Amino acid sequence: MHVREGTLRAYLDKQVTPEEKRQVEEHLRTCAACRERLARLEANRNLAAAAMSELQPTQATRLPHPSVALARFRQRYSVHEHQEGRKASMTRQGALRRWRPVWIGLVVFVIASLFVFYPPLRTAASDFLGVFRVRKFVAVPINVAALENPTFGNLLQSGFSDQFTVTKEPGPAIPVASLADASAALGFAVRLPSALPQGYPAQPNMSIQDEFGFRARVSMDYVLAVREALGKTDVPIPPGLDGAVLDVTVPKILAANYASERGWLTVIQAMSPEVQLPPNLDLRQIGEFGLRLAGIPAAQARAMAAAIDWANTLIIPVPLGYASYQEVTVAGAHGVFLEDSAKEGARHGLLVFEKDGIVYGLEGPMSAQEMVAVAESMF
Amino acid sequence: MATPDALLLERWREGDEAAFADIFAQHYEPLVQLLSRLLGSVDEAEDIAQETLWRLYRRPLSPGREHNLRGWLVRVGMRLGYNALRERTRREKRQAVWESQAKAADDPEAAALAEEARREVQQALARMPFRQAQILFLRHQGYTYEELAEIVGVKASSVGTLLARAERAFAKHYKGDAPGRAGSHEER
Repeated sequence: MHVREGTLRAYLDKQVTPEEKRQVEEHLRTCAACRERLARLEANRNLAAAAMSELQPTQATRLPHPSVALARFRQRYSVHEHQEGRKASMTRQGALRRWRPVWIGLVVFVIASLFVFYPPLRTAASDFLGVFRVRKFVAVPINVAALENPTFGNLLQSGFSDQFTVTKEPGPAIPVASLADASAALGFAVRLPSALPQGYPAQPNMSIQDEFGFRARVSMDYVLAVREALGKTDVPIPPGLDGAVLDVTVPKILAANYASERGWLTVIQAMSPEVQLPPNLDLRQIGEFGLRLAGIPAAQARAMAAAIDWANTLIIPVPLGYASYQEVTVAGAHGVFLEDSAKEGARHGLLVFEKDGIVYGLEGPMSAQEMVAVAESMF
Repeated sequence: MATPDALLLERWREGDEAAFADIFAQHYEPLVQLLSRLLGSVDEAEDIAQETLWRLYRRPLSPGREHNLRGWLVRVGMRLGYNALRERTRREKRQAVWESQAKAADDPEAAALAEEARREVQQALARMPFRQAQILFLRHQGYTYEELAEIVGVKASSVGTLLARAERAFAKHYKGDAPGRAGSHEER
């Protein structure tokens, strides 16, 4: 039996245990093939080491004193404004920024939760037949014990964005003055609540977040790493996943922010984001795979996967113990209300629903009942 | 067992600006140094280090994640730095002209050669998947296998395998860049 490549590589760096070292050396004495592999690994390592030594900064600039750097940092990011907003829950900008990862995160989750993605631009439209559009939201409770595994956390953080490229870079958010302007910019009749709880102004600050798009490519390396990190190596990987490419377009989003001492209420609306999928991808299988990785037992995951309309349903993972959820009805449309129970102090709710091709989201310090009432006053 | 980073983060989560200032003071410079090696420009490295800390500022790490703040910062900073590198490589390819950062140096010819050598390494890195580029670069900056495992998000026992793979990919991209050159700059 030959020595694993990883072990040989670690041996080169003296990162093996004395026992491994002894075994490697014993094997190398009698195995020409492994000696050759080791030599190739060493050549590659030396090439990389020589190349990396070329990487020295040109400028011999002295770095500014940390306090100077910090001052620049504060100025650059208007930290003080942010800080005030933070106290009142979040700033307007904060709210917008928060939304972007939520959209990306949620949209991508559908395809199989946690896979990594990537590059080049321009879609050969004929390659993509399947189109995913958000029509429904379904909350799926996730057991966070598995997700608190730091290896998985790191993977999620580094890998999630690892393989995706922005195909449409968004411009800056643009303030809008009136409902008519907002409707014209978004291409549908924008709606605002007509009844708000006490303490909220009648007129919100409105701004439009620009359209953006990204392309993602599933890498098997990453899928395997996630599966391993979650300890679910027994869950089979669905066919067609490796190298699958998806194109996600998130249309312009209107955010209306209502300031109050209770905390910001943000109402967002947009046409449903669109995801283009490879034609041969079996969403149900991939959904089932995602559910199983999230810790749902095999039989249950199968039943759930079969019940979900994967082409139109956005799965919202709800970490048990950190957030609670309930299904609600808003003006006849089905929606999900999530409440952040991890946050001390002010409650923090999020309501999402789809009605007539438009996706709505409300976020603020309210109970389900209160927020549904606000949402219903939009129609 | 609480580390100083963990304490600072906890205070920062509670809104203590002084705690953030301490985090900044401790981590800013090492991050800039690492990134300036990747990018070849201190200015650009500073930009990215600031953006990285801004991400932390906006969204302090949640409890349970703070066991390795440095790892988090390196990971996020590397991600941003790598994106900048790719973006630059794309731009350079489009324009087919390279603004040499070395113009102002004392010995223009030697500086231009050094710049060219660095650019080739950067281009090879930019062509690799991020995770490979990251592990390769960080290992050759002296990160240990344990640190790499933490940053990349794998078991320490997998680091050797990933590194071997990354170095193989690098050799391919680096040599592929200029056929016939065996990675030695003296030949040119």
